Amino acid sequence: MLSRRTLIASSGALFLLAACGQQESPSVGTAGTSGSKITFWTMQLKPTFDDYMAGLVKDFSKQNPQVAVEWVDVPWADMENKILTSVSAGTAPDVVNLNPQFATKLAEKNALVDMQKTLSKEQQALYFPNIWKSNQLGDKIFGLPWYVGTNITVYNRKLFEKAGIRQAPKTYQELATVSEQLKAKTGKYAFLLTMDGGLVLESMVQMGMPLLTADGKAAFNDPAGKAAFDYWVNLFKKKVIPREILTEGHRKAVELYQAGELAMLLTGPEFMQAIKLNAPDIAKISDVSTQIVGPNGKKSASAMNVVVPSSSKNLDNAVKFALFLTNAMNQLSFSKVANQLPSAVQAAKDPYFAAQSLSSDVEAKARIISASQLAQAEVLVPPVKNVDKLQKFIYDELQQAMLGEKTTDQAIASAAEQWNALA
Amino acid sequence: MKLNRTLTPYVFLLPALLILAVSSFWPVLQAIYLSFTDYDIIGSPNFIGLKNYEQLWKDQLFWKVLFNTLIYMVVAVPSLVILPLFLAILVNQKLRGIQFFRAAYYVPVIVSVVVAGIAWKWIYAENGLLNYFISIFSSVKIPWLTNSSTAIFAIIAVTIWKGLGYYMVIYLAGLQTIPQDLYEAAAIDGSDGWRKHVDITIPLLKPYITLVTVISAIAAMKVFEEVYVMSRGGPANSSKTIVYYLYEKGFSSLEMGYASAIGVVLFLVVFVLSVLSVRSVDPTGGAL
Repeated sequence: MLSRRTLIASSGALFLLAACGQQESPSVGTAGTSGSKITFWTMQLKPTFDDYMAGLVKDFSKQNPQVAVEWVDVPWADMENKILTSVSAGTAPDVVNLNPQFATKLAEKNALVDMQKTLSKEQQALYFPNIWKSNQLGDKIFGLPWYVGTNITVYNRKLFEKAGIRQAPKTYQELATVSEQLKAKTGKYAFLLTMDGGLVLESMVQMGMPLLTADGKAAFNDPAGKAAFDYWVNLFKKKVIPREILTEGHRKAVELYQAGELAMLLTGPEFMQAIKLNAPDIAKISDVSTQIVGPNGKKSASAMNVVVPSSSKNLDNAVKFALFLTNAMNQLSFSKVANQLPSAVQAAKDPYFAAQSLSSDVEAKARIISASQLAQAEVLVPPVKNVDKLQKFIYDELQQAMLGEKTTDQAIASAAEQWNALA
Repeated sequence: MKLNRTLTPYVFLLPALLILAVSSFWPVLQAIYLSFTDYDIIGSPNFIGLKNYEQLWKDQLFWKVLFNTLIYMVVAVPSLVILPLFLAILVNQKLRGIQFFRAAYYVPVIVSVVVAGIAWKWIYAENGLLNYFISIFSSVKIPWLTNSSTAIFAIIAVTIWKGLGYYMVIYLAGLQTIPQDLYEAAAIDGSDGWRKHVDITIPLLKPYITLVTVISAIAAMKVFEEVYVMSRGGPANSSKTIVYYLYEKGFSSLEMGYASAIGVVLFLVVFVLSVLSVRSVDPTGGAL
């Protein structure tokens, strides 16, 4: 028979074990009083934007006292799984911050509200048309644009000086030359574009590679596509880009840049804040330049959006909140705190963005360059059905070509064949 | 009274059985059902017969990841059966401070796979610790995780490093059940040194060796975290294992029906392997 003391001790141990195994609870903020409640998920905005979000939720609740808003922040890496499982479990939030690539998967399954049908023409005209279209799948618009950014080039002036490079490369051709020069003179790598996102694929589109034909078949198996494949294969074989391109993510590129091991970081202007915080010495010797382009001059834009799952039990209030979040006034204040650009036309016209040009700060310079590129920028890999598979086929084959397991011709033909079998 | 006696053990088993039914058996049955459907997480599943299995049969990548998993097993399992046995024999000595070594060998077991994976990624990096040691003797830098012929072995090494302590403890428990007088008798017969382990330790540890073989083989078939953290299955799918592929299909491509079919095949493979391992030790198929 167990003694009382043993029982108490074991319950204590069990309690401790349970406490150790408890999952981290999401970050939650609630406002509003009674009536209906909507849940709003954001992608990795906590804790930096706690004050902004709290203020926003408070303002919304002031205007809509009958609606309570619960804000939950989800880490970037968990978002895709969390949103998919919550939609499948019927527990989806009412409003979610995603990006077009994540949202396409849900839109393909008709799981998101079609904003084209829900909003009036005037409401739709509040956003930049090119950014509005980044949320288009077929004839549906699956989300509202929120903050946007265009990539810039952040570079280490000291490493450039050491390698005798006077100015940052502007084109992919110049980038290849600079990479060789840097490796030869300093032993360091110039840059690292990773395959965990769309950056390498976007670069290939910038180099002139067409993605799909009008009927959705592979169009990339052409001379321009082969040239784009060859570009990456040659850099890899010449050992002027890190081998980590095969297995690592964008975070690695940021880490290497912050450690002074990489001369350039091709990224959004918001990363200047992180560099300043994590590697102040590197930030001091950093400068910024325009986005690297190909012969067609196309610039890539990355957009965040706000979607409303069609399973929401509070559709009207959810759409109302999404509109409130992305209206010109709120986007402008978010741009000011987040070093991002607004997708609302009126917000972008604010004198705040022009005033930035008077500043000599690198962070401000990064913002100006990014903002000035917005008008010519577009989402280069448009949301089409199975876009993630298209990217995967191309990356898998490109890697095999880089490793010398296939020739460029074989790799690109195989990627096209896999896509056409699916399309 | 007799009925009560028959029922009593089952009443005690009931809570555990209920938990198992809800958390294991029901999901297994669900997965088997879903493997015959086109379930995509969002819509409702539609019955499509054997289509997922036909697709699996033709899927070259599936065969590649199955092959990778077999490599994983062939390399990791013998290492995890033999090396911990040596370690267990070593730390079973009655020496001062031996507790420290037992604890030291066990430390990797309690380190989270993610932490271990990240640490090993640094060790394996181009300018990492391992290449630094190699650079003392040679100018060659080995791209451990970014070469398709070394990546999987680099990850297997981490699995072995992490599992040594766990299996060592299992063997240690077994070693302590062996009566000392057997060794004394063997010594009189001239069996001493390492020889006594061949004559006495290994035959008496057979059930433990089987247990370790089965557990480590199942663990090798199910390997996921190390691959996820260290290489994401790359480069060019060279370190992609079956569970990583299942995860990719289920949660990235949303092909949950197809992922379930992969899961069912994995279950069958593990089941057959377990039966074979147990039978190889005890041909009657009895319990360990």
